[in-house]
Amino acid sequence: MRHCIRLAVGPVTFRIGSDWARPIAELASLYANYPASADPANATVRLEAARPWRRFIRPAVTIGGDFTIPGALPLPMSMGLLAAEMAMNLQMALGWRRHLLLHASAVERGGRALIMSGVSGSGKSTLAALLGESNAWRLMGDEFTLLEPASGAAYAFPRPVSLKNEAIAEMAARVPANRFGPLLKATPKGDIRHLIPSAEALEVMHEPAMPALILFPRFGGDVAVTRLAPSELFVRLTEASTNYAMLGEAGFTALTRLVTTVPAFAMSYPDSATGMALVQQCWAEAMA
Amino acid sequence: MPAETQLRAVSGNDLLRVELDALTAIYDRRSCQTHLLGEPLPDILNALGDREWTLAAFADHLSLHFDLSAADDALAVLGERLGELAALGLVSVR
Amino acid sequence: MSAIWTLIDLLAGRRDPATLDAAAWEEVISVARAEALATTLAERLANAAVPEAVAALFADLSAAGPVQQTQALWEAEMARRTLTPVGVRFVLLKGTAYAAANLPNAAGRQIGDLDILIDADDLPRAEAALLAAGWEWVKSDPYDDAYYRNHMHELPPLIHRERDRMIDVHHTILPLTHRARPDAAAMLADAVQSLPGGNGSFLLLSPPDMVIHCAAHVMADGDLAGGLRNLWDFHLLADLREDEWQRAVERASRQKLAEPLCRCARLATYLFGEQTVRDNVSLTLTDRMFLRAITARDDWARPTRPILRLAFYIRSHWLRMPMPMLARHLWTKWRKA
Repeated sequence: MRHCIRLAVGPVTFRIGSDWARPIAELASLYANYPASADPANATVRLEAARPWRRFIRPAVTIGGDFTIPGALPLPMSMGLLAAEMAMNLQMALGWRRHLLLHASAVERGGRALIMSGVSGSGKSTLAALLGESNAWRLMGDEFTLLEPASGAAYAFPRPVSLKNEAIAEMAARVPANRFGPLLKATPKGDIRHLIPSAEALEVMHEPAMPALILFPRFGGDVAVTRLAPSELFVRLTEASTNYAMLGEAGFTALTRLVTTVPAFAMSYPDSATGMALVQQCWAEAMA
Repeated sequence: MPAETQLRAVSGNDLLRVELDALTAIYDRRSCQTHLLGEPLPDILNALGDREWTLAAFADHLSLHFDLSAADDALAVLGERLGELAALGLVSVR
Repeated sequence: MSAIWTLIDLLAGRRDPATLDAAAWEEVISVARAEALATTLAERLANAAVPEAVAALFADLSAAGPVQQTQALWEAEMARRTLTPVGVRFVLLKGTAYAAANLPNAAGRQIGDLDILIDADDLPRAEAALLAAGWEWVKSDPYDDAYYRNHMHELPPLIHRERDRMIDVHHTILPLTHRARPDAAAMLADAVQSLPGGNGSFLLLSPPDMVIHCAAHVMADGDLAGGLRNLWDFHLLADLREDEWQRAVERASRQKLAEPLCRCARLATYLFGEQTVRDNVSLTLTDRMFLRAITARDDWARPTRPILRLAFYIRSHWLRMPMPMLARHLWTKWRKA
């Protein structure tokens, strides 16, 4: 492939090839502050033209790589960055076996991790981004949290945070412009803008943290905080994991240990400020 | 399930069990599968132990330790629960 | 040296892993994944001098392998609990069989569906038992259904409702209208017991028959996708005693499968044999075309040589139509013109 870049995020080194220069240039810009890695890549992504002429005529980016799902629709060139991010997620979700993968954001404070699990729109990314911008918390990741089966420790996977719609303005008010990627308008998930993790977060991205609290945020409801029983937590986390079933006994031991030792709450909230306050409250209780 | 059906539970060595409040999480090493069992399935598995039973004999054994209602109902209900365990591969049935 | 040939040389033991740089490793890993040989490579190079990052990846793959195998053998066990009580005798095929017998090519082999071979007369009973025990049809299109039953050599695919795993029930080893004349009854009759493992023992094809089955599929199945992995299987399976190999050749000839068997032997030796042995293999022109189709992958693991691969795809359909049918078809077209 004509254009290529290597990116290291936590324990993963991506090799990304592209039929066009533009997505690679955008990735280079977005990941400019990330520490470089000389290791051979353990995940490969391809951004390709479905047919040779599609490199030039109505160029559309088809996602390829070591792991793909059939029938994925290509994205227009203007969303090439989104295609790259989706492709990277796919390599993790379908191929990563070293850690138990949770579809969750995570932040660290004093060596302990707060894990927030939820689907798109739950607010997990925005809450993590907001916490990460305060002095007390380090952003570990917004899409995937990696749990080491043997130790139960959470490892960071700090990709640029994918902010959607209103969250963009909210963060733009707090963070300098040079920490943002380009605005991607009217994608299938609305407007998207990437927030580059802080220099401090990137510097210590290889440092783990022990999980101390698990939250299931739900943006847009009245304030409510409900404690989750271990059995319900177990079910929710297996649903939030793409690779639990493939880890066998190590996965079972890790997950049962997690749900029997770490408190968990479902939390709904009407706005970010309330959400943040609830998070701090739950954290204080968990630390007590 | 007929009263003479032979039953045998998976050996205890093949399972990992963790009790989580109302449910018991069970990992079956032979299949690498995880099951979440609610009462009374974990108790039934425990009671089956490491030997072979007929359904009738097992029902009798259980009634010594658990309160089962009238004999006919108990056999049918027990048969259903054992069928569920068999579908998960945790009990083999002949 | 292209990545796919580097992969082949590494598997064959003809290339020292220490001579690969980071870029070469990336390419080999991508190609290995595309050819479903990544864990096989990891097992093959388990004690080799590789960069730390590669060793870590290989460790991940090797750890995940046994879980996959256990799950695959469990499917076989669940099939046994369903079919044996109704008197259906079944033989394990392909990946699950290799795992059950703990064969050299089982280490690190990815296993997808459970493939079993039964007697054609047992089909209705097997179908009924599987449906009653929680399996359901994957597709419910009557045309596909008829195609599977009448022209392919298996029941339409079934998937288990709760475990979400597929079973393919075959009653012969190649499609019914194929040129070859496979003798499934003989293969069933000669099936052997595997050594008892965690789940007891299963019926497998005898070693000569296993080799024939492997060859039949490399050569006759589809567009050679997975051809490299199938030839790796063949390379390890064909390590037979002299008398077993003779039996394989005899059996294959009787079933008109001698040509695929010999072609596989030449290709597997050329791909994976020691240098001195492969120097003595003379490949025919057709062999070389097969080789080109099987190694049609670039260093980003994309399929290349589309026209060649299309030709093989068409050929696989052509193979499914016996010559008299094909000839009659052409004769009719010519007459009309």
